[in-house]
Amino acid sequence: MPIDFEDAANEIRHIKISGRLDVLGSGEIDAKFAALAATEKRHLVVDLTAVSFLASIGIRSIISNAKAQQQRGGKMVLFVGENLAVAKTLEMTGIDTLVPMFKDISAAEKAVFE
Amino acid sequence: MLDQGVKQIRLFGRLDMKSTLLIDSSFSAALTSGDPRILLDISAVDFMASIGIRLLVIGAKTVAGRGGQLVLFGAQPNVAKTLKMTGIELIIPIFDQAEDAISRLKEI
Repeated sequence: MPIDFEDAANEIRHIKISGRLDVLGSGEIDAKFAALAATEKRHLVVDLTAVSFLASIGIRSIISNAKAQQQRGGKMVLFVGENLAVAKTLEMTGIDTLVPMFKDISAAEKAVFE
Repeated sequence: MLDQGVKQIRLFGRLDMKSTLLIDSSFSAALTSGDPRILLDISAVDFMASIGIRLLVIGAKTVAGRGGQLVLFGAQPNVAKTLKMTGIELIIPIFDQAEDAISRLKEI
């Protein structure tokens, strides 16, 4: 399943995305990603550890959903774990300065409440 | 500097790794002094790499932190496409014409 989610007891919604976030991949998950991110919950951790490729259009999905959460008074952070390729793409484009990115899940879970 | 205090910056050529590193500190200096309402003319930018996007993202954040706004105008088709595909147009206002970009800045 390219996109899945889990609502934890601590009010964090974890959204996990797998596979390629390219035109095809984004097309498959966009509606569901937007719906999951439009939750009344205000703390989202998006797990990108299983994303094999993050293309421009994937970046757009991330920005769009992060912005929507921000406008709602919520916060979205990214968990990249050891996914160096995705981390690099986010750093190269400066997106990590807009949507905080973490290698460590507990740091991500802490940041989402800040 | 333009009328009404809005600051205009013009970028040229390729916003790739080499060029972006070259202009980074002067761009940054331009964004942290004077009017934080910045009109960025990108009509002469013919290529935008990831690092160019980063320059804009961080620039936008810097001026927003100063109570200002970064707006872009004049993107060439391929640059416009990159900005649209990556969703940068969701966070940095982009206009075809300088006049519309200036109007947006004057709202601040």
